[in-house]
Amino acid sequence: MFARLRLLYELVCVYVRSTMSAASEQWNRFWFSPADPTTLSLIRVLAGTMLLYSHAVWTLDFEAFFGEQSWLTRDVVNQMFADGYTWSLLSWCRTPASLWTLHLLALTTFALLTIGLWTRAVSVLAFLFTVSYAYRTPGALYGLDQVNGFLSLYLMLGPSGSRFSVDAWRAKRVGQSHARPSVAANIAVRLMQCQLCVMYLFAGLSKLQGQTWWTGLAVWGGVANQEYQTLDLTWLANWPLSVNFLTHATVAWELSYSVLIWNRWTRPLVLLGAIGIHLGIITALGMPTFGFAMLIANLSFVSPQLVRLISEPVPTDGENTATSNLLSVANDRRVDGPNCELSQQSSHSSRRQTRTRSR
Amino acid sequence: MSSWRAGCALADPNGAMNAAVTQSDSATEPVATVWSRSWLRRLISCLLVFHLFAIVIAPLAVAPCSQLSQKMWSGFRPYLEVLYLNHGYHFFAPDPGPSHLVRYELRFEDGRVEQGFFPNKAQHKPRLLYHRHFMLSEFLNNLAMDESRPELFRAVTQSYSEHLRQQHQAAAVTLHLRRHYLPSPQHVSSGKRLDAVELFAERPLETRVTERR
Repeated sequence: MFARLRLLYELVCVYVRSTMSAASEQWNRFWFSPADPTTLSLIRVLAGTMLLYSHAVWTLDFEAFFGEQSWLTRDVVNQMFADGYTWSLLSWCRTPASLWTLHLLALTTFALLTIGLWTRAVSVLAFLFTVSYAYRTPGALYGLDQVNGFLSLYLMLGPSGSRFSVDAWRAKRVGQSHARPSVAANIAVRLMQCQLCVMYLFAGLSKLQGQTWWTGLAVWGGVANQEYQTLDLTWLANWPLSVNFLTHATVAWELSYSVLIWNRWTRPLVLLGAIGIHLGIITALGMPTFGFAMLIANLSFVSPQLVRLISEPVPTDGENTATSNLLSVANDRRVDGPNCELSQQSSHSSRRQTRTRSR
Repeated sequence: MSSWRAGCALADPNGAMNAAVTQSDSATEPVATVWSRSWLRRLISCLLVFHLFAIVIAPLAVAPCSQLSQKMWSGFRPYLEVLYLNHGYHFFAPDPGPSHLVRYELRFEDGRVEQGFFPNKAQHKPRLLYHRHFMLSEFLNNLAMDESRPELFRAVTQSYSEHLRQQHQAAAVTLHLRRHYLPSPQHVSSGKRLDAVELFAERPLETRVTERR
């Protein structure tokens, strides 16, 4: 009896040890594999443009939102966040001159982030400015500001200026390689991916509390809302089953996003769903900035190889084209295996002899 | 099928990450050396676990929620708020509801009375600026619905009216919260408009007059 118990105990120990070891290996592989910073760099360009635009729009009515006699005065905002941990650089500006100076600095920062000049320092400033604007006028915010917030936060963590930037161009001029694979780039992209999964999961879960998301009429609520509407889709009133389908599809897509996006076979479909839903928001619900910001965030699930394939001229030396290599590699082996050579075959810099490394 | 597989390969960030490792060993080596230090990995791992917990707790603690999520949110709140990650992500949930506008009446010293409303598609352009004003009116409605902070609702109402008074150099301002109900599909099918009068309801706000000092 004792021997059997001991055997059982050892089996449990082996199980726990092997599970822990496998989990640890997967964790390290997920977070600490060096990654090509191309996708992160593309996100920087697009998110920087979005930050620049969305903050430039404040200029049109700047003092109405941030001045002494703004919609929400500083005192009211302080009252709102009395017991919180919020902060804003704009709260320190007491005069119109100092406010405008800070605004100009912020716009310059976002412009520098977009073109990728002094990117590491500028990305930290961009995050500070993004949060500062949000916490100064909390009554005028919506989803766009949340996406801007987390994109600027995670861009700050990785080498987002490695490509498509003035920094990269300057480094190239002096013969330095600026776009090395890095763990920081991986962590930044992974954090964006995790944030998106949490965002969509809770967007879906919260809808389950509502009646119209079950009765299939919720999409009608968006279509018939005149304050949101930018495209007249009220003809859908005569197509109730289509409204039902769109409603259920939205919930199903949001709920399944955080699971299906990690599978390489379903990922393209999930991303197609993201394009469809966010294009709908852009065209019909009058929130183009929010829709584009979400699409930019979804780019975190697009591989650097695809970005390189699109952004770089493809070599046309006979059979050795990037596309044909991609097709053959995809057919021949697991694309996410440790010996994958996709990046050599789809990138310019990969002509050199490289040796694969098992991890 | 092969094209599909190639497409999946291209959209595969995991593949990308591992592919990147093989890209250039000489370039990757220094980075890998820094990150292969186990204490650094452990430290970063702890921070990542903390962060992942935090970003899940934030939406989990939006009402209705459990006492446990509330307690956990209290612990993570400083971190979430400092990084501006304290969001619920309840977009159009639990149900897409009616929208809200603010109608204001301006009384001038010479006896004139003018009125306006926000958001105003004709006045607020581009669309993002319109949406900012739209959110202001929705924010006011949310506070009006939230009975736990009546003093904040009053303060925001006064702030809005004082802003309008200053902007228009008026003697007094009266604010009205206007609710625009959603029409049913049957309503629209029968030929009625989205801005039909019966779809609007209005109520004056409690602190609605700001006399000129």
